[in-house]
Amino acid sequence: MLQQRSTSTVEYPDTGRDVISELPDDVVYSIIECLSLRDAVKTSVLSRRWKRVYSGLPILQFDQVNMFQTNSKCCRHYKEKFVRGVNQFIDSYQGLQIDYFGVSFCLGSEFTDDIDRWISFANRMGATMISICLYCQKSCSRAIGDMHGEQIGGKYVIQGEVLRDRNTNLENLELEGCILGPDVANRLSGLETLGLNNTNLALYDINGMFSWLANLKYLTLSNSTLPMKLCLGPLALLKNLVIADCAGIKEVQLSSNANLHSILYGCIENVVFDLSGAPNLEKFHCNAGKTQLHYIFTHLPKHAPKLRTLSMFTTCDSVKHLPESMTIFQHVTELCIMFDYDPNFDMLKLISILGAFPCLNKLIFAINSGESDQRKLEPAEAMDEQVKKNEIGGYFGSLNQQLLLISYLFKHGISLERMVIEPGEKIYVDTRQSLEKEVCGKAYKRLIELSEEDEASCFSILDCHGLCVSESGGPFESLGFGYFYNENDIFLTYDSAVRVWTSQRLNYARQASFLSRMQHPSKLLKQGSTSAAKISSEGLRAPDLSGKKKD
Amino acid sequence: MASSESTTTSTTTKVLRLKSSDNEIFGVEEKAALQSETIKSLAEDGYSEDVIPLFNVEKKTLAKIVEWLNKHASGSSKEELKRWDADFVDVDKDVLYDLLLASNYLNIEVLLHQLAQKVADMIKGKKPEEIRQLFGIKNDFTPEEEAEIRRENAWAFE
Repeated sequence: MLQQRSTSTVEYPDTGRDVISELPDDVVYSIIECLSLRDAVKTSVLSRRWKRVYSGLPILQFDQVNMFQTNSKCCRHYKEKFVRGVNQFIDSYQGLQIDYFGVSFCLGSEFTDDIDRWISFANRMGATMISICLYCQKSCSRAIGDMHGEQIGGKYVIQGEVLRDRNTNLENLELEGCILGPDVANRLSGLETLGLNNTNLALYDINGMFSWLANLKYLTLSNSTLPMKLCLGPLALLKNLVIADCAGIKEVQLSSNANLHSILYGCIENVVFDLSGAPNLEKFHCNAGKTQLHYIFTHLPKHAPKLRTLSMFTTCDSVKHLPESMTIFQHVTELCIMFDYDPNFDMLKLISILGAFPCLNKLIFAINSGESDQRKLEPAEAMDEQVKKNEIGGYFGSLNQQLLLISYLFKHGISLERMVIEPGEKIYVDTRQSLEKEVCGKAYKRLIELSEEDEASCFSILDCHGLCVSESGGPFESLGFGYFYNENDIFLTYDSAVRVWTSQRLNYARQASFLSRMQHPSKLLKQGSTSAAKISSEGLRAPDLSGKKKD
Repeated sequence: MASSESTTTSTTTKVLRLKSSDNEIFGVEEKAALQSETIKSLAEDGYSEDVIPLFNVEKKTLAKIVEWLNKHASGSSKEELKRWDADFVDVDKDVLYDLLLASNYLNIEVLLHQLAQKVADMIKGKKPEEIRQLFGIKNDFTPEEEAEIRRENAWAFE
């Protein structure tokens, strides 16, 4: 870039050579990437050297924080200012290519011509990922009832003509509070990831849309009203399915979905799954009522013979009605059972189902406890002697409950060989009481004591990562639990935050999915690939903390 | 929770020798040195037994970089590392520039990001005039040109 220095400009005595302007472009870009969009654009006025630097940003995220540095609850008041800003940016933009284009602002169904222009711009610039969120996360209520009440007519609809200018590079599309028009899907045959959130799809021909998306690998539907029946048969390459916090759905039909290896179903509605259409399924997470539990324990092992991971969110009430005889899960190595805590329920009854899991090496009890830490676990007299598992561990609940359960297992788990206590680390956050390190330390000490008291047992604490809570306080508002589907997936629940993005290439996608959960979204997005690496190393693997290893 | 570091299991730790542009040689454990993609590819190209020449990095900068590499390979806890990093980037602008250039050349992404973030923090929320003064950037626009830029993206300057 040409550098002309006029000699007439004012000299500032305190500053030396203008070294920052001499830094190579890629270094300057990495600085710009750490700025909000507002600050980045402001650098264009510094000097000729800086005029177009911001145009090199590969990630463009337009939202309140990134543009106006405000988190004001009344974003409605910013609507026009916001739209004007995005338009100005696009009109003066001189970059050549963008990777990611995101808009997050509660525009609802207003300003449709402008939004059309934006998407058209993003497509022209070769964006591989577009995220349009017109649903307000702040001022609008998050209550499911609210959004489900909204009419389809009140949504922005992406029309086919906005993608007309060039063949689209679009691989990842995430829509919130808006939907795809009927003439768009046929232009999206290259789409690999699709997320539809906070929208009403009850009367929408979603199954017709699927028939165009032959390359779709990851599908997420969340916080939306769905049609009664989803037919996923046309999505022959689908690997990963997430349906979370949706209403209206009654049946998910799978047929020839041989690539499907992970399903996460987290809705209150009781849905009929027939998983015989997904014979290669390896991971199944399900919000399970009585019907589902019955299906899981009678048919699932036959329908999904390769199943390795099974997790269920259920209620104490449903568990009481488990079928008498269960089919054996030949390959399940990881079982996770989560339920709302009921002090009257003898949790140890659950132990009996372990008979159906001969290969289990990891068991996770996750309890969504209510308020009180005072309730006592009243375990049954003896643990089933048949239970001989290598590891039992990963218990989520309040600290006291964790200790109680662990102490119980120490006393009764005669055939246990080792115990792994593995909290969800960052994902598991209890904001009601931030557990100090000291408390965790005490808990850890108590565990050691327990294991020493129990002389008869031949197991010890292994890989105890502490009973802790996210250091950051995290973005989650409630007590929740986290559980890692696999190294590349991120599964957060409770806060209706279920996004699963896989594939290493989707760094942006992953950041963007975190982004929508964070209080300061732009920051996260701006951290570039470093933060993706960080997420995968800190968030997805339990860290070495205690170093207390069994000999 | 105490974070006792796991003792290295391998008995011999390989040390790479890095040579600065002014011919100072630094011995760095392989594990630490390979955080630099540049060093990694040089090592793979067969330099590993020999001295690895880093023509673009002076010894005073390389010393700092080596310090960072060692710290980040030491298995320190996240909290400690965070504090340490904050101190590490708290340096004069000139040193910051040298480190930026070096981490860019050595392709140490994490460090580059930390340093870029440090500079960005200095820019953040400031008026263009303040930024120019802070970094000694000469305004080479005519007043008309500057006004035009401000008009184009008025939203950012409002």
